[in-house]
Amino acid sequence: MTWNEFPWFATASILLWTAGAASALLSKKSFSPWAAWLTATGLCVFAAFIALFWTGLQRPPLRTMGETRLWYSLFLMLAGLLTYCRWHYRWLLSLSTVLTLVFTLMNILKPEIHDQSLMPALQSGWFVPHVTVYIFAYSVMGCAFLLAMAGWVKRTERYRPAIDRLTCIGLAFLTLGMMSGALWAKEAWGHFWGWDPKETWAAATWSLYLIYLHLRLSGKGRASVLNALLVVGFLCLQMCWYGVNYLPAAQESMHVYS
Amino acid sequence: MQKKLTGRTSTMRTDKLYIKIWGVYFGVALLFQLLLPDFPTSFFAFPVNAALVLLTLVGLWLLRKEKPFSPVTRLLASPSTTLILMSLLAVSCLCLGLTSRPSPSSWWFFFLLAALFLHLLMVFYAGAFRRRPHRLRFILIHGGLLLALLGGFAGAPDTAEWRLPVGKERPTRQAYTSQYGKIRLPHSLQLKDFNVTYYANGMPQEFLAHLLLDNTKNITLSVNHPYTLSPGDDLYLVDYEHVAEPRFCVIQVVRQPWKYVQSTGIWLLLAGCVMLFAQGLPTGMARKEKRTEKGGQP
Repeated sequence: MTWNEFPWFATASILLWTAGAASALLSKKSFSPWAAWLTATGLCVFAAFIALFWTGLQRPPLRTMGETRLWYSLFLMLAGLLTYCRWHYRWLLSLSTVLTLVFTLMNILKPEIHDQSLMPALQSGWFVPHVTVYIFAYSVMGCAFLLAMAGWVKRTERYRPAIDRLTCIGLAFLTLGMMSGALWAKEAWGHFWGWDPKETWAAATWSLYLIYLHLRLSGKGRASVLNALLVVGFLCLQMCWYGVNYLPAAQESMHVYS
Repeated sequence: MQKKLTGRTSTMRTDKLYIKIWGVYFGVALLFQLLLPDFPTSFFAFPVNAALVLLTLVGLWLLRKEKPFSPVTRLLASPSTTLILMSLLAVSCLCLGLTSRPSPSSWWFFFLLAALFLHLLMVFYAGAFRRRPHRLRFILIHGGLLLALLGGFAGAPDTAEWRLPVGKERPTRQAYTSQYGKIRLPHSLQLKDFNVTYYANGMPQEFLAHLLLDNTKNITLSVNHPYTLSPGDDLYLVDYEHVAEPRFCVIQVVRQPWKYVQSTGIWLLLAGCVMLFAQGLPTGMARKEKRTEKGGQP
């Protein structure tokens, strides 16, 4: 399996996800099993491409930005589906489908070179867990961001329980990603933490979500402050993922691989 | 109702007081940063750092035990302090993320990390030794973070790194600091062989350095596979001569005796995060969730 087959798998998945989202929106009940099944089938198609692509590349497809976008799309839809199954927010599948569509289109319109080479620094047992855990955290936080925006626009606190749970899970995975990265950095470069531009942005993102969690624990945060934190946290997360590459500071970053 | 309102006013007054206190503290940090040369890290090298850590651990423990309601205890264990310090950390990281890499000897970061350490220690003492839901998780997360912070913060003065070019002709002990200062290592290294394999596109797939340590021991170094020279000292392969038959490579020696404290902390934190994922929301938030789902105020 090569990258050339991606548009076919992506189109099939997007069609299934769109059908799932439409089914959730049009259903008379608060939860539509059809929506869940269609979305899950789309996820299986997308996951099948990643598995076959992995086999074809003979290395984990986690090296380039395009490859991390693949995982983000998969996990974002997974997080959206699980949240829909648990809390029955019928519009959530539509929003996560739109966001996934953006990332999938970016991959189709701006294909990167996906060869088999994997530089020595990335040949580590930490590579797959570190990157997948981080991308999963990004997707869960993406879902929390969508809910926060919806709560902000509709001026309701209805989504707060779901946001809290997603942020809690996202923060656990964000910390797992950051700490596994620290252990890997010690093996590769000799230091657990080096204030590399990417690490600094990771620390900023982590602190913002920690503030959210502690504000909720102490019961001090107003809804607008909490939502603003989630929005800023999500923006920092995007900076940490790819935005940092466009900053002058990235010239000295040790996290540039593609 | 009256009682609730009085309580809320009093909390707001305390919050304002804490903001003022931390404002003065960080004002001093800013003044030091602007007026003084870099923080004298080397002054705090072992045993000064170890003595200070021990003093802080015992001092805060006694303070917590003997005077649990003193203003200092309350300030250090307060949730408002958590929010103030985390906000300052976030803002500092955001500013640095847009500009440059922070220096480990910056006064601002010294003050910030010191405050975070004191606060985290007090919170740990307050939460770890009393009955509470998810106590093990609390200990793993906060204790792990505390150790990771301690290893990095208190261990910084004892951390050093040198680089040495190692050739095939003869053994060498001469290493260089980042400021090109010379240092003689207690061990000698000589390059025996260097193997590089390439992908079809020309990218290096793997490079291996076979070295002779102290003229007796054969060791192999590659990326992601350092060699432990002694507890606290590790050797890393960082570069090599980019020709078909490399005649020398660059080895980095990292001395970090506090790495064991830091890695223990990181592993505890990892375990705590797995528990956070498995067990779900902290108790306070779970209670709020139930209230919201019943239709009340979150």
